[in-house]
Amino acid sequence: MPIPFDILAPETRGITLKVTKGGYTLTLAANRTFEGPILIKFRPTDKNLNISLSVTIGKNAKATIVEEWPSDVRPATINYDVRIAANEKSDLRWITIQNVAKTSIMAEKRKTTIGNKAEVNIYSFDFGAKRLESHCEQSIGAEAECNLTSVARTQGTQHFDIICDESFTGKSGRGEIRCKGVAQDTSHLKFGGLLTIEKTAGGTQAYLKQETLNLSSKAKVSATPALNIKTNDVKAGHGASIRNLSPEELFYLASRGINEKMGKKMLTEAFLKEVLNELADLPDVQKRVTSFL
Amino acid sequence: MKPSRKNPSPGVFSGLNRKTFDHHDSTGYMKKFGKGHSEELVRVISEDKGEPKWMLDLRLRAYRHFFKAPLPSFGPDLSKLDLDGICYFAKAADKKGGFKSWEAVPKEIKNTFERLGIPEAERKILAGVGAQYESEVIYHKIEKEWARQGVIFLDMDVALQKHPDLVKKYFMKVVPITDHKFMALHGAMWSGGTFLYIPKGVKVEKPLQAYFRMNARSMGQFEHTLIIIDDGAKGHYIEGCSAPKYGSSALHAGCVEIYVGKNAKLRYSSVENWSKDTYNLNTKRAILSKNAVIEWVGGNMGSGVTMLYPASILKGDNAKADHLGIAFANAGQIQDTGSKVFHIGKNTSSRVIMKSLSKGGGQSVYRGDLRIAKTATNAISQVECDALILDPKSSSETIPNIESANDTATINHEARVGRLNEEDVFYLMSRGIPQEEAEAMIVNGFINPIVRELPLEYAVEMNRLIQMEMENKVA
Amino acid sequence: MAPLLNIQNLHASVEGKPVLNGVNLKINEGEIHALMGPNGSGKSTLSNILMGHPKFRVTKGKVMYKGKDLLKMKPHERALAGIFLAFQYPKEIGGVSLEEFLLAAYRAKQKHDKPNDPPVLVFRFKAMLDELMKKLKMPEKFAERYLNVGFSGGEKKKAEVLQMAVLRPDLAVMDETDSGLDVDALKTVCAGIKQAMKGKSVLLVTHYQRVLKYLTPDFVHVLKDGKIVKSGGKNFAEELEKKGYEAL
Repeated sequence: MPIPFDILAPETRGITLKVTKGGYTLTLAANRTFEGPILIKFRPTDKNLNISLSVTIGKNAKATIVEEWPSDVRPATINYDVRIAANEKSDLRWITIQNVAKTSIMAEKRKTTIGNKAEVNIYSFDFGAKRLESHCEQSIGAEAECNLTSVARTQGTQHFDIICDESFTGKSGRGEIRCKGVAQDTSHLKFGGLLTIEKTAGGTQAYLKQETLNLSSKAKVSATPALNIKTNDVKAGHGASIRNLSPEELFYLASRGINEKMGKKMLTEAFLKEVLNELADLPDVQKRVTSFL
Repeated sequence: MKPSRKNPSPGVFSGLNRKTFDHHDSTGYMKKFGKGHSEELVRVISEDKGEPKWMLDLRLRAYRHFFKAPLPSFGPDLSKLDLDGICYFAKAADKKGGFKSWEAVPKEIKNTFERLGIPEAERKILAGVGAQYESEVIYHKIEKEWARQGVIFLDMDVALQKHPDLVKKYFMKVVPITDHKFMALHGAMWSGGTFLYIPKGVKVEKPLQAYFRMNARSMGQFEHTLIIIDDGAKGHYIEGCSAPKYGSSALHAGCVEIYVGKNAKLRYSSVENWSKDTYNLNTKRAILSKNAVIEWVGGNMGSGVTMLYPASILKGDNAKADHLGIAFANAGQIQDTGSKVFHIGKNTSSRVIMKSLSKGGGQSVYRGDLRIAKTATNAISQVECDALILDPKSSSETIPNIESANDTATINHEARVGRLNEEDVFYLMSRGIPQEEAEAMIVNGFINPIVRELPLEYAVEMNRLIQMEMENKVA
Repeated sequence: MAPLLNIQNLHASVEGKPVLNGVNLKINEGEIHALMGPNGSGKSTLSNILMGHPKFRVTKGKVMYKGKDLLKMKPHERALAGIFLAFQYPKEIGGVSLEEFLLAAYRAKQKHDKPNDPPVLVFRFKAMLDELMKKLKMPEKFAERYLNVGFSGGEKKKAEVLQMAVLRPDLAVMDETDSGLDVDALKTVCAGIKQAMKGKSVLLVTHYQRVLKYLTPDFVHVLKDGKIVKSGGKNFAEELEKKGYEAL
């Protein structure tokens, strides 16, 4: 069976891809800084996909991985299971740009384990699929940090159910989950999330935030940010907001000759684009994401 | 003299400590009915009260539904609750409708109330008192003023007799018998409670209060409170509860139904301090008409397991709900509380401020539900729930569910969880205040936004109760 | 010649409370008018109503602009017709850079005025923008920042004036643009307004007399309790400074 994706990197030393019985394993060697983004690009296909990918980032390694699902990926169903282990003191930035065909039904499970003193920053941009069920879980070790940003936009009759969980088991971990969504037309957008701080995770600082713009009277939006805190030596919180575009902001734009339709477009894009500022060193990623807006 | 732990500010309940609450009078009347439930018992209860047929029918329908309904699929473990081991009904006195004056009440019952401070309270602030003792209303009095204005403040059983049409119109419509398993049980076994009706345009300034008491071993409490605030009226209802400690579980599955009419307003204050082995599974719900306002102000201190989610249904346009609450979970307690708000009419707004504390291994859970219906144009909702975990053994969970089907809604939800700020404690100590007191001061500061909304005497009780909980070492 | 702006017996309310109680004001082409008055007199309300802010309701009266009924026009139509409001508290809009925003507004105006011309090229626009920024003594990278986000009070006011300079309106309504500016900034801003609005009309809404030193008005009006109680020439302003509003 051909591998459903291509891996492109400016330099392939230290990157190993193996095909196993259960799926694929990708290993990045320890003590290496990988220059330039490593691109995992899924190939165009109509065949149903059932993929299991296991990624290991070696100790002290530093890398940026960009996972791309373009619109010519058009299976009826996609089942995707990815496990990422970021070993001690590693530094990983993982960016997913998902824009599969709007006829596909996609279910994905992403589990990331962040080792002691490691740092992981995850960015997930979801635009495609008719139905998306996404469950991301991060497990954070002592003195480690993991930030997850999930940006999603639903149009037409799309249904997205995005769950982002983060659990802290070691001391002095840090993490922020940020979900930003826009719901249009008759779509459904649901953000769920659970932040768990175990008894052993004293000194943790964590925050979960879900912000959604509901732009249509026929769209349905829901947010369930949950906290489960089992010790008191923590600083934790969560916030959720659901709103439409601000009439005051639209008025400000109108006062400069920008009509309502254009104004709404600008503000909606602005809402989603704020995140892209953090990826200034990846102009291609910025361009790709902006092109979908 | 400045209030301190040794000299708390004088209030109605200031002379009391936990021992008072835990005192019980041995009563012989419990021998009349055995434990457990049956359809026969339901018929006996209805007959004993001389109820109209429609009420018996409701009870029977509810009882049958009880068997069909499953236990709740969320929340704390209720498996230890033995529904067959509870006594569902007993009478302490044969007289219905209470006593015309305090002097006529039987001595042993009076003792209990005196220890709880009812007579003083009644003289000082209350307009009328309905007190429940072993499922039967013993003492009730309505001040002449309110009677003249047409305010009806009676025990539920008497109200059913005197105003059957009014009761039939509203009884178990906001919370139907099919709502959940414990409401089905409630529908079958309900006894006692308060009926409050404030007629059109009448504004009752003094708070109206009812006080419950659970006494004998393994008592189930199914009081039903029905409050109707007619158009343009205003009222403040206070509910406070206390029960002594017992070994076997006591169940409290009461129901509070509230109707707030057009342009009317109700403040519902409650301090719930049930015994530590009670299961507090109350259901409280209000439905609001156009321009109506409801304010829920509550404190939950006691009980072993609590599942309590006051709900506001903002049906009429411009309706407003305020939910202010404190929950304190001490050792061995699970406080699973929250607020539910349903926005249905146009331009409705809601505000929820919940403060929870957990200590000694206690678990506090905030479970909220906020829904904006398709028809709820321009709804605004603001929720703040903060949790203070006082020691490493305790825990806090926050599980809000927010759903919106209308694009003009503006919803904001915030929660913060943490512990007492060491620097704040240190600052107070550096000014000569001992550590425990400093911590208590900060805790009081944390809950202050809620406490200051309670009438003064109850604010004092709340503070005292919290202090007691803070002092309480492992049970 | 017909006035550019003709406000006749304007009554307006906000959240049910009346704020303007019969305002009459005529502004001709090329004139600079100053509108002064105590706090709460309705100055900001008048500015916002001219722009069509949804919060304010006109209960009576008429406003004609270039011979058309202004109150019937939507806010963006009024902007395209040449009215510009420099807000007292400009909104912060994250995610949209000042540059991007101005380009969109400039192109919208171009399309409206000269529909057959191709839209301006980005590099040309940037060059024009840079020059205007230099004149207003604004740092180079300023336009790349998100619209008003994190701008100091003075920076916000300058950004409003920059926008005005780019869009070249026929009537600029400046709502307390001078407040919060130090003397140097004030001088720069006024010079910028004078340049951009040469031969055009300005309605300068202000509480303090100080700005009139740098931007000399042709007419000064005092708004009190929602009505214009007195009007005069530029000497009137000096009188006001000496005697205050109470003397009226």
